[in-house]
Amino acid sequence: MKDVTLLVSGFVIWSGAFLLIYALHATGCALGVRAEVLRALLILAFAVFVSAGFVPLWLAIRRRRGLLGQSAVIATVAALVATVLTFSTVLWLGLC
Amino acid sequence: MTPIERHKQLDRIWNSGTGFQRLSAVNHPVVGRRFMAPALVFFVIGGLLAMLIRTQLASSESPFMEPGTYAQIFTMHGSIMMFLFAIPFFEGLAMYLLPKMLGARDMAFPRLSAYGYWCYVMGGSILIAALVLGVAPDAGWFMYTPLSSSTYSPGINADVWLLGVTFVEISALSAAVEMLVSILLLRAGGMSLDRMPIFAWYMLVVAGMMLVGFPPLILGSILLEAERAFDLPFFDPTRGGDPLLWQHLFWLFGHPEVYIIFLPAAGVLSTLIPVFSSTRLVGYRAIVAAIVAMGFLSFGLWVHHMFATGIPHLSLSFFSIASALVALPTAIQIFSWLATMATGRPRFSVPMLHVGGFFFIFVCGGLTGVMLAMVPFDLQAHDTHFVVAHLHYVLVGGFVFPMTAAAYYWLPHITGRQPVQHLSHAAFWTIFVGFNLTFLGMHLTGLLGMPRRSWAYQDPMWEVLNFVSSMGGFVTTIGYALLAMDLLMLVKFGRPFRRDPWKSGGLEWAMPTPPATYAFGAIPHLDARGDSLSPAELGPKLAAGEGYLATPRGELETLGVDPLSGKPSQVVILPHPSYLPLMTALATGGVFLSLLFKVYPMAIVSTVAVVTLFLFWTRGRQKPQMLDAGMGLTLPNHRAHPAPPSLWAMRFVVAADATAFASLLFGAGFLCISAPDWPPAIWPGPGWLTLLPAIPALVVLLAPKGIVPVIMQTAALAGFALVLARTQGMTEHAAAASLSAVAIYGGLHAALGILFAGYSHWRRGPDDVSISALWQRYAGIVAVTASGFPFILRLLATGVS
Repeated sequence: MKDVTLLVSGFVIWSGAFLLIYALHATGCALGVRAEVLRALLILAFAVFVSAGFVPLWLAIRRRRGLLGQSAVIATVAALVATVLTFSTVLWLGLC
Repeated sequence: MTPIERHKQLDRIWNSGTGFQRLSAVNHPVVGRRFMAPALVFFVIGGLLAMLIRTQLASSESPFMEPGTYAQIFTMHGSIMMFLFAIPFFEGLAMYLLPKMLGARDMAFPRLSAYGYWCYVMGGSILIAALVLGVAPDAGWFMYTPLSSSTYSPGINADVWLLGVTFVEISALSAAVEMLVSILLLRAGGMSLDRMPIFAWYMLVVAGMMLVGFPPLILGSILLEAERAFDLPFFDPTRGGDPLLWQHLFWLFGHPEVYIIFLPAAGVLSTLIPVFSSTRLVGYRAIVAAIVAMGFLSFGLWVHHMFATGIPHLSLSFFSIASALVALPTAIQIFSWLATMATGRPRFSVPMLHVGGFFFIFVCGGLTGVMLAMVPFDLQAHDTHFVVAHLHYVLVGGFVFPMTAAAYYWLPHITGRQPVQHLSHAAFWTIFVGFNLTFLGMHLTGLLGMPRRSWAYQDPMWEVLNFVSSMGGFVTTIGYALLAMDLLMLVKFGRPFRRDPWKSGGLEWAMPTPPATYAFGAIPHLDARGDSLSPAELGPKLAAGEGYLATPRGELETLGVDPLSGKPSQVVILPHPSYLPLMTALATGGVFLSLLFKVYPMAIVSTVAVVTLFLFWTRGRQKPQMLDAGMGLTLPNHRAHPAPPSLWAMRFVVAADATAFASLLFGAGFLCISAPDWPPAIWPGPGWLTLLPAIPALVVLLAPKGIVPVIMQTAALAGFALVLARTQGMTEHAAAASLSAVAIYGGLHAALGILFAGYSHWRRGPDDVSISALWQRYAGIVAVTASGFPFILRLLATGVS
């Protein structure tokens, strides 16, 4: 079952990042949180999720055997790249 | 036992009967075909409505239709094509094919398939009847509020959509659970996950997407119907609601829906292209990773339908980038298919013509999709005919063309006859030319500024382009008429064949065609991938009984396997034909019709009837025991196995339900931070009393088995009833309406907890107990969350103010 878990875990992390960063941004803007504090929180969340994305990638590379294992490596790389690309705008785009 | 004797005995066991007995059929070939047949009828109806739209738009200021009728026509065209054609058609195809591709004799829950089918047909009939009677929905297929709210849509038109589509969606959710459990558990011995045919991988991901994609829309429909029927102001900005909540809930479903429709068609392409290229699929591993990626990424795009609603740019960027990113896994598949053709020797027979049509049209639609994913471009093209052209290129290219290829490919399996191809080429080219004539120029119409859903216009340039589109529409219709005639000729006059006419490697061809009711005389044991077999050799061996469960015992038996390794683990005994699915669907129809005509006591009576009938489904079950499975194996039947299909089904039901609950909490939170007039002058709810249901819920979490949950869930239900009774002003502010909805949700789950716990305590089967315990734990978590949520919402509301 580990191969299946690894196959989806990268994108589960991406989904978690999506929900949390989107919710954090919307709530922060609605609550009127100071721009620099909100940006720091968003960057922190971004960094945490990117770091978390390396964990399934590392595990998938270690386990890389069989068809599912190889698919898991591709999927976790794709998920990590997707996480970096999707949320990198928290570093520079205007906030609210 | 000779193959003929085995056939006669198995057919006696699996046959559904004749005459009125057909209404009791639950077998997958019958139900699968039944799903596809009305889907095609609805496709014809939707197509005719498209012709009416094109007639209206062929000239400026056309007097053909008045605006109200036009609104009903375009609303029903979209709703029919999305909800009554595309989804049910691929569900039917999957139901027909999956067991045969995976080496099983049926789906995991045949009665659930049949129930879903009846719900689909009845729900669809309600929508069509409304169209005939002139009270069809008229607020667009996405039913945006406030246009669809009772203030601006006072008749029953919008109710027909909300209730009819929700009725139909029962079939989609039941099919999702059915497909997930069937793919994971009911396969040939030795067919590990990585030996599954690629189509099964696609359907596994699609079923998972349906499981979490449909609940937000069902929840949104319930909330909007509650607003229309009981004046609960979830979407009314004058009372703390927000029309944008509907858009969020709708597109949370609506965008994954596009991929839910595309992926089965992509599964067809990944199956057909290697067969017609006489080679193996290139990049199987990358494709598996790509469809998993699409399954997730497609849920991060919903706001790209809402770029023009004023959401901050940073949030828009997440959705814009994700919308562009989803093109990558799509491209991986397209390049894999091209590589497969390049490495093989492609035969350009009729199915491949339609595959070629897919390539041209879908790639064009995909490219305009990436254009629309860019916020600045989208703001220019938003709500214009450019979007209409884009979505038709994607949906017709990405679904109708591949499914037409699938029809030519698998119709011989259903009918036992091969194409004669008198009209096939003419039909394809007429459709292809007509389609591009209709929609290519429509991009320009949109870029010139023509808004969608407008019934008349004045610009002479728009008139030229619209006239061309209308002519193209009629050419396309002629093409589809030719296609229908061609397929009818195939069914009537096609050439009979022995086995595997396309020289495929799929297990579904390792049987006589048309297939027997039981699919396989014996369940095979595989040591190769399920789409690289030799059906011509394997078929006779299976008919001769070389495999599992080859000796008929009077029951409908199929093999259950370990989900990952494919090792045989249980004998799953399936139900005989039954009228219960039809009766239960009729009672369910009673619930929806009572709600539609606002006869609420009748809705309660019908709901009791539905629950009672579902309880009857559990009669006549096998006792837990060990059985000889053949090939030297003795296996437990599913009731004696620790993880039977029903337990897996409950896990998936909980996942779907949790998505709906999360959507409800998201909705309340969204209103709190985005809607005007929050918090209300007086905060609704009974204060600390709200926590009352959490106490018995915590006990249930610790002791989910035996008689304890019956008592504790009763206490939780009473607690939620008290909370609801003390929540004032439900019609005055969305805060009270939202908190009431959360309390009702918790109470409903406690009530179901009482039912499940009482039943399992009475029957005491090991599977009954484990299924009930799973629900009790989940309902406990729902109750604790529902109890604590009002405090979080209040905190958030106070912070925002």
